[in-house]
Amino acid sequence: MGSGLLTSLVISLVLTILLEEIFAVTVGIRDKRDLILIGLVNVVTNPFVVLVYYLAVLYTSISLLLIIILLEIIAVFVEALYFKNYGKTFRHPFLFSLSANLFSYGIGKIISIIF
Amino acid sequence: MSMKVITKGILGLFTMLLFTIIASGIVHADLIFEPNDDFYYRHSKDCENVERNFTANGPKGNIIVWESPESDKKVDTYVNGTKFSVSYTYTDENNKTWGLVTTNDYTGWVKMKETRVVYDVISFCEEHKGEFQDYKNEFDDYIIGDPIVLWSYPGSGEVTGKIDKLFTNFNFVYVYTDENGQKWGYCADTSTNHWKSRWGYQANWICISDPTNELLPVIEPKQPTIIPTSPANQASNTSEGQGNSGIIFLTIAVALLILITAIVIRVNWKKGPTNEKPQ
Repeated sequence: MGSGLLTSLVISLVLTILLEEIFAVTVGIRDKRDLILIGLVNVVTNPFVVLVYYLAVLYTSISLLLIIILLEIIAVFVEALYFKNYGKTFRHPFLFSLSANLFSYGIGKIISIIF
Repeated sequence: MSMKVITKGILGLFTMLLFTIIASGIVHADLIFEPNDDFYYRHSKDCENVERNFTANGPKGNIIVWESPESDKKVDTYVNGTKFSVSYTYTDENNKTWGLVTTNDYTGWVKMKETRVVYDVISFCEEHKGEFQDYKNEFDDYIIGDPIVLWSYPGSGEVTGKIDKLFTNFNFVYVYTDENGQKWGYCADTSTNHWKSRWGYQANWICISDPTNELLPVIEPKQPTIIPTSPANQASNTSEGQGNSGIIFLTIAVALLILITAIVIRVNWKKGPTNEKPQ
């Protein structure tokens, strides 16, 4: 059970960082430290989201959709706060965080449907 | 293309996606109870509604409940003899049939070949359909006195209800004679066509030979024996505990990772927006 969860954690984190970095470069973020910050912030939020989702599915009967929405909202807010406080070139940290998360979630969903 | 336009586009797409997901959930919920299971959601069109009880009967003395037919994640383990309900079945590309188990705590999938159905009216009708005869008005002259006892199936010992007056659409469709020589009438509820497609949920059996007797003998059905659970197999159920310790370990590891990363950011990144460049 643990190894399956560990695999999920690693794959989710790597994919999310990759997708959010691509998104950041696409919208014009070039500052090296900001790009590293995006990766690190995802290390803070993504394993938390995946782990809590997994535990909620395993141990509660709460709606999966509700869990996903709540966790994504938390992730967006936490990431936005980091970008606002520590970022150099994020003009709209909240908007960037929301868009980047929507992008990575959407692409991740498509990938999970395909595979 | 400006950032504003891109953002609007993404938000629009996401809103559409969100409404589609929510709307599809409502439609499904409106039709039939749908289990809260990711795999089921993705394969609901390939799943068959079953709603029957089964007993664990694995070759190793227990069966494993998996997160999904495609997953290697264990959700639970049932020792042989454990009874559970299966709401839907799914047959994969290897022709293996899986059953969806729903409890208050989780949903999961079991291999149906490692289960034995709990004998019910469907099992009875499937086993004895060759012995059913047409109804020849055997019950027409019966004058109702005491309430008539309804049974789930002949010899079940399970009383499903009583009738204290005759009702108009009291329709016997088959008559069956059990090993004790008792005649039984299969009384379908003609207000539904359910009995035509599947033996019985809406139907009851009445013992035509002794309609008011609540103490008719139970006839044990012939079923495959349950493979006994050895002490070693019972011990394997503690693997759930090992799984839990794995999750606890991962939770601690994740918490540490988050903490260390947060410290790294705090130490190496200066606070305060500078907004040197537009996005």
